[in-house]
Amino acid sequence: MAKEYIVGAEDSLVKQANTATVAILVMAHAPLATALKEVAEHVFGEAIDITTIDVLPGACAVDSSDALVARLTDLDRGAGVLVLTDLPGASPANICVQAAQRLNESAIDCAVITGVNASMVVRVLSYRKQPLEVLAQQAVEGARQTVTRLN
Amino acid sequence: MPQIELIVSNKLGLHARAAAKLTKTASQFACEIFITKEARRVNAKSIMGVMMLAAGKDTTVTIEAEGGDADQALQEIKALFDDKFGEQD
Repeated sequence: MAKEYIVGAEDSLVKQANTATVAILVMAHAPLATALKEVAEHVFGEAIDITTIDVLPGACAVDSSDALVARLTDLDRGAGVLVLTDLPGASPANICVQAAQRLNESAIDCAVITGVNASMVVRVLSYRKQPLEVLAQQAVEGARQTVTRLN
Repeated sequence: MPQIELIVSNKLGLHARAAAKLTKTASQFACEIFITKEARRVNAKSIMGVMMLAAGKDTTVTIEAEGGDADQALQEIKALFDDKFGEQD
């Protein structure tokens, strides 16, 4: 970021927006979201900058829809938000899709990917500096490639 | 393309954490870096690619690098292997 201060103020803002990091949220049935973050921290051996939401049994995910939109909006640093969720058609995934739509209407890019697994999380963290669309593609490909029989 | 052969000498092989260290080191360089085990050649900057090599202890791998900082990259990667990825056996 230090280089950004060499250019003019307007250019600086544009460049910061272009170089901002995509925010990552993992939202899944408890305890998967937190567990996946812990797996990533184990692999990389350091604290990982992703946000997790574990949806507890009995929680009505739909009721937290507004809170999710606010959270995602808050997480965005100008490069958009990548949301990774576990089961397609389940409440966490459904409200993520609704929230993403509301964010997109507010001109905040938000991509929702389902089928999150440890490979997907590790993969997106490796490609963290890529634009949201590339990151979303990497998430899907990374997860797919590693679901395979080993023997 | 400059290349070196290295032996995986740490007890757990190129497991997740070691793969993370390798890809982190490789990613510091602008050159293209590949790691090959037997017939499988992957981008050394891709953590899942490296992990899926499933290179255990005593496996020989070939590291190739192409670009301006290739020699330095190979040197750093060799040091990482020699250091057993910082792991105590």
